[in-house]
Amino acid sequence: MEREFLGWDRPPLAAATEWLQEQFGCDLEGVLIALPGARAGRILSEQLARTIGPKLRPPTIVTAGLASDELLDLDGVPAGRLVRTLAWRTALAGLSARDLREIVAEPPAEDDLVAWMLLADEVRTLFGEVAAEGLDFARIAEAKDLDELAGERRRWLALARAQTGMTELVEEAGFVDPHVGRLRAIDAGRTRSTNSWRAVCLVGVTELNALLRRALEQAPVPATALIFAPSEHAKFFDEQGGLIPTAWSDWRTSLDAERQWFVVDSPADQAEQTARVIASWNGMYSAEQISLGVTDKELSPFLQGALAEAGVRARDAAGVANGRTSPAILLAAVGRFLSTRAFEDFATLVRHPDFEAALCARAVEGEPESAFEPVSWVDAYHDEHLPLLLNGEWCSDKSDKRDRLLAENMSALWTTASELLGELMGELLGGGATDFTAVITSAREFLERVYGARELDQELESDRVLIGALSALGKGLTELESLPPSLAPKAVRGSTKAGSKTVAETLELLLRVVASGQIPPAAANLGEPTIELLGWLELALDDAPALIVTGFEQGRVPETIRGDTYLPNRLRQSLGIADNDRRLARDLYATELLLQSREEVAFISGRRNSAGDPQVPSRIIFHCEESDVPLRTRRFLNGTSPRTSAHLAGEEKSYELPRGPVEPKVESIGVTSFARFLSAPYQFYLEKVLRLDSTDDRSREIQPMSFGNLAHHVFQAFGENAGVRDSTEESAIAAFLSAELKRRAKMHFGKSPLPAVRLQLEQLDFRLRTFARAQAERAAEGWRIRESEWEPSAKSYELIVDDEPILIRGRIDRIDYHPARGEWAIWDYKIGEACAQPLRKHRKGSGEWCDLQLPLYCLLAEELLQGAEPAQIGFISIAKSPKDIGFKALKGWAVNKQESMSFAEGVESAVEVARDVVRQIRAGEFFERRGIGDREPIFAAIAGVGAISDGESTEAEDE
Amino acid sequence: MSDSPHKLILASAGTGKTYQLTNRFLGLLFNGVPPDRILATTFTRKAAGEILDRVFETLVKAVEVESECKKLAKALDRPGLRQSECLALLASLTRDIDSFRVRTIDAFFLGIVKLFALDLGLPPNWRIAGARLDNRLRSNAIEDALSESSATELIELLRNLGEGDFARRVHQSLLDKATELRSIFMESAPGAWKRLQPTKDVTDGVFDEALAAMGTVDEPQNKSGGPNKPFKKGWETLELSARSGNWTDVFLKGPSNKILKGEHSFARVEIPDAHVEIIEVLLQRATHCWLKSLALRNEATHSLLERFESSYAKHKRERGAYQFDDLPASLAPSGASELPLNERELDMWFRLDGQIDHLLLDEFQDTSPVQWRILRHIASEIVSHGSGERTFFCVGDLKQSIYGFRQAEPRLLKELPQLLPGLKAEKMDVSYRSSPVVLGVVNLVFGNLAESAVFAGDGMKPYRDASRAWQAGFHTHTASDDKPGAAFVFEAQPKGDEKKDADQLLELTIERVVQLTRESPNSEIGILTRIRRHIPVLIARLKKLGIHASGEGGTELVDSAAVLAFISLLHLADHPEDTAAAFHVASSPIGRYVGLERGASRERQLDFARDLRRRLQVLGLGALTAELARAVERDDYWTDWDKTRFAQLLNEAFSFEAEQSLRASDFVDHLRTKRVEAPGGARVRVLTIHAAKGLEFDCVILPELNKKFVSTRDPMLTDRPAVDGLIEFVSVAPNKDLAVASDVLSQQYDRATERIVTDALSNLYVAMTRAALRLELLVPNREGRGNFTVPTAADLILCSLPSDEVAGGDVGFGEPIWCSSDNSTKWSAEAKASEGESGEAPPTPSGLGLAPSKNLRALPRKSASSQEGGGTVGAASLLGSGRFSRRGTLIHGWLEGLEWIEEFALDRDSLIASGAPIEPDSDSREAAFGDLEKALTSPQIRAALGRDQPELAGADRVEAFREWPFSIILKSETDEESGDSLWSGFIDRLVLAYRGDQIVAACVLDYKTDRISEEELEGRVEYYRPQLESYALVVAAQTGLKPEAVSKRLLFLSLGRSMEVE
Ligand code: SF4
Repeated sequence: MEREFLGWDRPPLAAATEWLQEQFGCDLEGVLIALPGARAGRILSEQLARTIGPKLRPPTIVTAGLASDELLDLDGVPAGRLVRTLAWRTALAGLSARDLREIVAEPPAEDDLVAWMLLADEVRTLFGEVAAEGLDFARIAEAKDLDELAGERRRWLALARAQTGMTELVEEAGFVDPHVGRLRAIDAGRTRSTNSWRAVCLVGVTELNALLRRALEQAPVPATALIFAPSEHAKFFDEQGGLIPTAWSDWRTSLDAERQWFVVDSPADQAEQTARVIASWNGMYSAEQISLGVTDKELSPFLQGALAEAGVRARDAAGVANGRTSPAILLAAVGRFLSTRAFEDFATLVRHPDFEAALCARAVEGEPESAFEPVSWVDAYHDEHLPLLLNGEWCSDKSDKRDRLLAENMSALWTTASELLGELMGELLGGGATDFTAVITSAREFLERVYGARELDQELESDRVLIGALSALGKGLTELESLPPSLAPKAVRGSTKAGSKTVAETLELLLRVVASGQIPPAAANLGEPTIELLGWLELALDDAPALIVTGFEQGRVPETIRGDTYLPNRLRQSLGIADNDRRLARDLYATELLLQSREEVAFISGRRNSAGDPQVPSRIIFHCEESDVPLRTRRFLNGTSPRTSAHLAGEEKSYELPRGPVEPKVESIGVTSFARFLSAPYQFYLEKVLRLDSTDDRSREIQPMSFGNLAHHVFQAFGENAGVRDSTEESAIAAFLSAELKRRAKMHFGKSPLPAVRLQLEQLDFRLRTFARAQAERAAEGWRIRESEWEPSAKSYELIVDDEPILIRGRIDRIDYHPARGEWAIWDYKIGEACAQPLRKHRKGSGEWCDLQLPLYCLLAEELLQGAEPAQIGFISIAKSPKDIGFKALKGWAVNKQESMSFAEGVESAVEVARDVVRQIRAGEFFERRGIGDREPIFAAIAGVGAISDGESTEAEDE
Repeated sequence: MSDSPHKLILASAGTGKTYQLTNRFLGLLFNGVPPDRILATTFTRKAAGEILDRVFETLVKAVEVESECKKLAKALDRPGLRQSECLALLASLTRDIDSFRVRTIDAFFLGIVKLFALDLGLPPNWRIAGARLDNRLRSNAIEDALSESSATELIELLRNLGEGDFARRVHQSLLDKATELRSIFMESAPGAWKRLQPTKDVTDGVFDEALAAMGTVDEPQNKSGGPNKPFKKGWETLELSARSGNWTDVFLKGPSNKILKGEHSFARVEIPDAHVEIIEVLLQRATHCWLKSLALRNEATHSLLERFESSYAKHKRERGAYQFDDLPASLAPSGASELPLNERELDMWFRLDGQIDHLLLDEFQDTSPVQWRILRHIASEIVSHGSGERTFFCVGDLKQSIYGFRQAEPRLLKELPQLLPGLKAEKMDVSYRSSPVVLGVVNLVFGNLAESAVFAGDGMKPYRDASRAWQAGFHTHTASDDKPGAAFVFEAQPKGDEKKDADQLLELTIERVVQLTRESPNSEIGILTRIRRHIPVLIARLKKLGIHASGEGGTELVDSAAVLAFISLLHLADHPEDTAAAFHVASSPIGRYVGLERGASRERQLDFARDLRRRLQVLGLGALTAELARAVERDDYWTDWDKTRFAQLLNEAFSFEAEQSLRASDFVDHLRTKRVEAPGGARVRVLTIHAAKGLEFDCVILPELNKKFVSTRDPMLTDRPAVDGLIEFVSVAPNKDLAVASDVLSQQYDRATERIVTDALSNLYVAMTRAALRLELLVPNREGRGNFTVPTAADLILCSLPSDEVAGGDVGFGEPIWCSSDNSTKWSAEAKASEGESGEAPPTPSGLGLAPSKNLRALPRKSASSQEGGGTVGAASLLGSGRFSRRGTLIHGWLEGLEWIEEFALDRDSLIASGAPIEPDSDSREAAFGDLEKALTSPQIRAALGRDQPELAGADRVEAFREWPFSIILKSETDEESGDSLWSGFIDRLVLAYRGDQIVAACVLDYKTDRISEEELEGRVEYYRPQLESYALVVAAQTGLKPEAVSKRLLFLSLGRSMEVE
């Protein structure tokens, strides 16, 4: 093998191009060129086309990792990754229980396809790494290092047996494992026939695995290693152009730390520093002449943000991962839903924009006038009925029109969703067997239903990504379809559950097949300045004259192995597998190459990562003259300069409470709303004037409001039932209430509500039964329920405030009459946790009114009571504690012994307050932050609670 | 050095714990120990980072300054240490910077678990999952527990958990309960939950007799001889309670309560013996029944936890989603005596790439028993090694143990010498941090703890025990030098009608900060609270006064109006019907950025939300947030605070992106709970005592001394007899007054009290010792105080001050009620400007000043085949079955072997065999072969592939190339703007005609395997035209022919047609 030292004083691939042209002229056909990475290959091919022109007969360009395949004769069809993974899976699962347990203490369940695939992936990758160095598991098991390590050796032996199994399985399926094939070809000296290639060139390949080395040794054609270093450094390279680690260990970089190295604090600081460095170049370079090295993927968004700020696009070569594309996310959501059948997961699924769009499109196809609102519906349905699973049955309160409509909508939505999911759903609905290939076909059909009708435009960014995603999925589906039957996952036969598991797992398998790929970013265009973001390994052969390397930190450059599940560094060393020394040599060389061959290079190290964890700079920084070390250390220690915030001081800007676009006139007020105004006028404004509503569909149990409504309905039925409402029999009352609750609950929640619901209903039932005793006693006293859910004939009461009427709305839960005494009693059911106490609810200790409900009830009831004062007025407390359940009558309005206030005076005083409230409402006096708690997060947010603090403290428990 | 190489350092606050640890570290390094042989652990990542920094800092200083080198030599006991040695060590360490093992205990365990995951029984997809997923799994686990049990069982359970109430909340309260008690459950020994057993009951006979006797005993009389009405009433109530089984009342009311408490009189009369006898019977029954019900509650709780845990474990396994807390348990399962690794004959050191010879443990008082169970294996291996080549070193301070709520077990530190024989213990009580004045107050308060009047009362025994034990670990603190300092006690204003102590103190705090910043504008002030929630309140109030204060440990981002509006925006995306969120967005400038106007109709709102969901999906959360962040940054509407917080929000969005789900609300949840530290550097900092641990301030203000020592109690009583063992006793904690009824419980109860008091004392100690120069203690107004049944830190402090020094009565507002006699005003000169603020980062350049772009970095790449159809593509075709394209590839491959049809022989078997890599299914291969065979019988096709080409007539010779490669730069014909492109690929077949050496004509051929009908033919030709035209351009450029001289031909194999493309 020849070595050519091309120097390092200019961009490496330009030098390589020149050399190739000198050597071969225009005709490079039949020349095999290997480079360390695919991107370098693309640059080289472009430079060749540019330099040589139309006459170019292009060479074959491959990455170094695949070069051996071009040189060796594999003698068989190499199995793809999926086939190999499946073969490993089957081989591992076929090990004896003892062997298997050496590898994994708790092997996955037999039918847990995904877990098995993960395990197989791990072993396959390990084998790939080992085989590239000409080793296999059995050879490792013999390693001396393992002599004292019985457990480790047993594991490698078990892996070796799995390897044998895998090899056989792959061959039975008509393939050969490429790694095994390569090893065999090397051993048998089977190289590709001479007429395949006329020359082989390694361009900047400084890391050669054992396989490539041996393939090159056996290659029957002239091979040359192009080395980007001056020939006086020849002793740092071996005869195949690889780096000699021991030679590099003492290398001193030519880095000028003062000028070329920056230490900053956080990822955001690194991005800012990057911008600063670029600005410091004073317009020497245009965007395309600058590359950004990104050693830490997490930095990428920060860099993109900082550059976007300056109007520059950062083109991240990493592109979009297939797994993050819309169709992949959709399939994952479908799989999730099918495996759980939970309503929650359905609610997530319909939020997928593509799925939602497909649903709506179908709806329009069917009945143009019925627009689908899938998200609104599922939210409303959840709120009302708290379903756990989704089974196509919809409950509704038959008497409630809105609720009935909702159920109809849900039913239509469900039908459409089922159509869309098609065969994927089949098992879910019907049960029966599911065939692996059938699922794949159904998955393709499903995607076709969702996406098939679209015409996609390459030039549109979102379409471009979708094209990539769908093609990858299409390929993945095909790959799964054409699996050799011996390796394809077995169908899971039997129950519905097993069926949907197969569906979910097949989808997951599909996603795993495509997940490793990505869709490259859109090409740069002239109108938009673009800077490339590149991974560390791509930098060495990049061709931009100016470069900034971010994330130049310990553990990233070089990557360090400190402990490993299979191949710890020490074992690597003794086996000759890429170890820390080799990585250090590689990165020292790469750093030097960058420093020498670029016009401008800067390195940036951050002291903290995005999680806030401390980090230290790359050790490469310290490969310098010993005398420079203290200064460099000092610089890194000073690197944490927390961003100061002196400018944050100063007066707080006043936050204005937002107003509605128009102020609607308030014509009527509910009796219970006064309390809201009195405690929190702005919240009253939001809720009652603007009628805003906040929803969240994620509760896992009945919320207070629904709990109360449910109870109210039961009480209403009780009050209306002449047969039982006057009963003095505790048991009869209890039985009625219980039965009514059950009836309503069944109608309302159906068969499978969230698990907590069942218990909450039981709790309510207990409360009702406890109430039954109090009710029976009361009936025994002679009280009769006269009215229930009563409202005045005009539906409201006209209160005159400043000569102008305002309507007071309200319904009285219950009005009792005592015929013997001719007395009235007014009651309000209060369903809450604590005991409801009429006085405390209405007046504060200071005597201030905070609720006006009961006094205003008196106004409403005037029509019925004909001027009589109710003998009793109060709450029927349905609290959590049995002792707090029962009739809590008001015992006068006075808040202390000194105060004397008759009932009528109290009512009058309250009505005065009501008038005042009305005046304030009319005057629009809502804009006060008082009283808004953080119970309703959005309301609190509107009022700026949290952002603007009034500094009220509240006692609470310690941390 | 000293006799034993294994050391335990008990270091009081400010005495240079980290300094000791760093020196130890350096000592080892100077002795030639490679850094990867040393494991130093601590509890926060920040602290770990600081240790490493300190090691380097010390070395650099020694290299830079001779005297520092001497100092180091002394500290390390290496006389004659030279700067050059330090330099050499520094150089070698920095080059090996990757091999340091300085990390948090969690990270260390995580590291081990990672290497042994499969051996420890973790599933292959395990990882540390985010809080959001974990919450969901826990919620699912509760639901499983709920659905798996029968209703009656559950009702029983709820009733027992809820003390007989019918609470509405079920899911949430069980979830809270399970979450809260999980750590106890995991750490409890079998049977621990059943340890509490009812005491012996009396027989029904005896009990009935006693009841019967209640009506017959003579009533005690008043001194005046009349009937004692209150006694009578109490007695009657007791009878009623006893008959109805209301045991709580039996314990808590009337004469029985007195007897229970060991008193003898009720209603001012001696309880007669006859009554006492009866009461004792009643109490025995009551105790029995009550303990029985308590035992039931314990059982119910336990069974809930059991169900929860088993389902939670199942879910975690399924999703591979674990938490840090799970790791120690998997490394050292509770109850196992061996590590599972040892049982499997696996060597930790092998996979860890080297043995750890030296263990350096920082903040040892914060270690939990389960952590210790793992560490002790390493520690005892080291200590028992005996050669002196492996050492153990550990620093801690019992007095600073404030992490009980995180399962820290300070007794481990106390008992370490017994747990690990052979340690040499050293004490350090000289503070390098605090001024003598500050230490004076510390000594005053803690030096006489056990004797304090505050703890002297009846029923205060647990307080006394706790303070005695605490004080045993306290030695008079001395200062290393004579820094000036000051210490004050300020008193809050008298209480108004409505105002609470807390509000009064808040005002006083603000006032003090204002004063202090005026007095000493350079000093750093730390306001240390016990409650996190007070921090934003204080910061906001100070902000109003123009004083910038920052928090530490961070606060939720929702303290900015811009962030709040953003949250509403995401909420709206996820909940399109939310009119409140829409209103919020629309009335904030954010609405303008995203195009949502106020008063939008419902339809408009739904559309907007839908569109937003789509943008989130297509752009990603990070990019969408970034757009908004730029708008916020540019908008003068927002304050600097909003802009800063929004920029931080953007960071969160970037980091969250990987977890991004279809539910925008997930990020909202994240934002509402994630604490983000606002930019620091402020002179005034407000933080919790917990967060202040390890920090120091020139001046410390303690505003919450009004908090009770014992304010909240754990819901459970637990007992862990062996400090490194399991919990052996668990019970629901009863009401304090009830606990007296059972010896076991009252004992456990007192122990729990002791623990809480100990913790509170440590909190106070940590808080006070953060002060370097000046300490300000703010106490609530003293009016009406003096009884210490629920003592507070303020009580303790006031009592420990010499009473003659404390001003009584009214002092003017802002005047201290006590100041140290050693106070000096010079302290403020000591307070130096902190370094942070001077080092303000240079401003970000507004533009990058780039040169204009001349050409593209990489040429756009074109492949001729992508030209077909002209750029748009039907989605369905992308998804299409791959069979079809494989057929095409096969046929193309076979045709590669065809030079001239005249000489071409189809070798069926070998061709079909050779296609296996492309199409594994042999039937499909056969079929494809059949197709090719048929095509080649077509006269048109044969003509196109024959030697005899009419177009090429007149040439000397023709040559056919198969798979002709090209890679060539072409100018775009159609579009001048877009410039050059790199075209590359292969032409199926190229026939060149030569005259001499000159190429005179060329023909490009492309095989098409589409199955099409005759009617479609014309359309397909048009479809493929752009592709063929591109080929012609390429060939023209390569051969120098005019493009028109290159003829183009499409061979539709399935139709057997050859079409010239004009
Ligand atoms: S193991 Fe290596 S060669 Fe095999 S598929 Fe993975 S990366 Fe490719």
